[in-house]
Amino acid sequence: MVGNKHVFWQALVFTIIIFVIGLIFGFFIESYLAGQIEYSLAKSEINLLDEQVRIRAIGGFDIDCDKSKRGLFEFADRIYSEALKLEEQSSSSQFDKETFDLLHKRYDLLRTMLWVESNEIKELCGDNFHTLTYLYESETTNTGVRAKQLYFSRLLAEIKDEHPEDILLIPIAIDTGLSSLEMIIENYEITDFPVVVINGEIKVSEVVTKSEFEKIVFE
Amino acid sequence: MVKIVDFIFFFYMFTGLYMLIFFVLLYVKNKDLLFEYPPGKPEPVSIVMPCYNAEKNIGNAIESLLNLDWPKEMMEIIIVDDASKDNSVNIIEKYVAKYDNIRLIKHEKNSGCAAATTNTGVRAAKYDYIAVADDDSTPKRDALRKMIGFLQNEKDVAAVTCSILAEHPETFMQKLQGIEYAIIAWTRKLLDFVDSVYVTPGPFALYKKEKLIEVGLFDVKNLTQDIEIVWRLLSHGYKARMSLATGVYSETPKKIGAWWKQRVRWTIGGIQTLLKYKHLLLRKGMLGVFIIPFFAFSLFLGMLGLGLFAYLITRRLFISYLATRYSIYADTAILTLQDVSFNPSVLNMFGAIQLLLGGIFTFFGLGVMKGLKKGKDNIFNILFYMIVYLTLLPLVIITSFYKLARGKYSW
Repeated sequence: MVGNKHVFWQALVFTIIIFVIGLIFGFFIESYLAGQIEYSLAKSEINLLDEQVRIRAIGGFDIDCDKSKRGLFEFADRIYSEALKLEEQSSSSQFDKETFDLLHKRYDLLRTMLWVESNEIKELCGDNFHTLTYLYESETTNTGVRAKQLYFSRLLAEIKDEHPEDILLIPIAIDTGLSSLEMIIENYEITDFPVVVINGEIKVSEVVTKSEFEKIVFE
Repeated sequence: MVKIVDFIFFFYMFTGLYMLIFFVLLYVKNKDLLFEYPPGKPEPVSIVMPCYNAEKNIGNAIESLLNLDWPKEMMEIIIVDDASKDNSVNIIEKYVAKYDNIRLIKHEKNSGCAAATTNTGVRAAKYDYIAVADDDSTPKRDALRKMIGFLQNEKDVAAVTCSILAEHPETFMQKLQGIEYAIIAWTRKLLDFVDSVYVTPGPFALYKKEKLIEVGLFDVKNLTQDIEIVWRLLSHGYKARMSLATGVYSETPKKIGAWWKQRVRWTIGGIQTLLKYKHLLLRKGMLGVFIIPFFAFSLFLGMLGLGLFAYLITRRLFISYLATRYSIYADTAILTLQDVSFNPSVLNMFGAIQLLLGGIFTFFGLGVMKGLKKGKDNIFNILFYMIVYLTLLPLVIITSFYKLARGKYSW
């Protein structure tokens, strides 16, 4: 027994060592994943700047609007899938939450800029696509709101899937503290979330059927 | 910042890992001593067997006692019948007529607990060593021989237990209990190396009579008199030991209903004991320093885990229910690939590693107990035991607290 009494603190020391190694390892994995997303984000930011230059160029030269629309859609699709990946990584993140939150913020800023850009393209090239801006709360703990958000993401993903060339889908989290986004939201007089802003005019925040929603968008 | 739920998970993992390492270290340091037992010399032993409505098993139980590798002139068997309503008494009387060293004591009225029946037997016992046996258990032939040395060699040892194992596991539920009993026996022996044997289970245990009388015999108010008596002995400065080298085979509940009832009774008894001795926290050697906190902590963690699990699952189900209702109304998909996608977090990985380590520990423990355990185990049973069976235990704890609080419990 005398020799065995040491087992109590020996086990504690071993546990602490293993736990600390595990925590460091976990932190390392998450930092690596965040680094990968950051790299994609940097590429997307360059892409957006490129897009902005292109829009400015449309005013000066006679550049194809279809090409700009295609570029806008491609960009939107890319950051949509990148953000989805980020969403998955950050939801499982335990240690590096701050980095992931920062990445979220940057993606939301990119998407806010995309929303503004899409309006500018519409002004320059005409109304030949529909912009669906989906504003949601990423940090809400309200189960009712979460359920509604789950419903909206399914509905919007399905509509985008069925009309890939006509719908520009821009999901933006509103609780990241972006002042530009807050200003736009205030301008649209939006107080209830989640909400889908269709072509910068119509707001849908209630549960509607898919056909009703399509009617609102396309008619 | 780490969320509170994550913090609780980390806490669980830390505690689980600590206990795992604790047992592994104990095993590594003492593996050569696991099946060792101090050689004892034959001395007279009184075997007390409380009996109630045991017509199915009492015959086997008596036969197993008669078959013990012990001089017959140094053994008396006292069967105390607690006013059985079945044919138990007739069966016992046949043995009494045939063997001189078997006595039957009949309670006029049912006492309602094994403690009172056992106490009757202890009081009537002639010898200094008292073995207590269950009416549905069969000790191995060498049980007394491999247990008595612990009492003879150490002055302050007042009680000895052995490996309690499942008798002929047939149903799935019994096979799961077979795994559980074997792992408990192994870990109980490991706890013996830190003087922390906290129970001498009813199926077969050996005591010094004078110590039992000194501490006031078994507690008739407690549902698990076999836990309570050890805590009382420990509180008086005595020790309990475990002989892994021998064992007793006990009948286990065949169905989940009977299992549930038995576990609730055991847990209520455990809580009663904990409440009775809570004032000894951090006092009286290993009882206060390890056994009481270990017991209390296990109950607390079990309930906390269940509460957390219930909260998370209810919340998730509620959100899914609402979202599905909306989706059905909207005529959209009710389940998308994204809904079922699972991106494991570091916490999940920690959990998986811990489950793996727990699995290795269980397999290893079953390997150690291979020579004593009856019945074979397959991987499915072991995984089911680890993932489902063990997670039922917190539910037992909640039910036990509820019944105890309402005063609705009986032996």
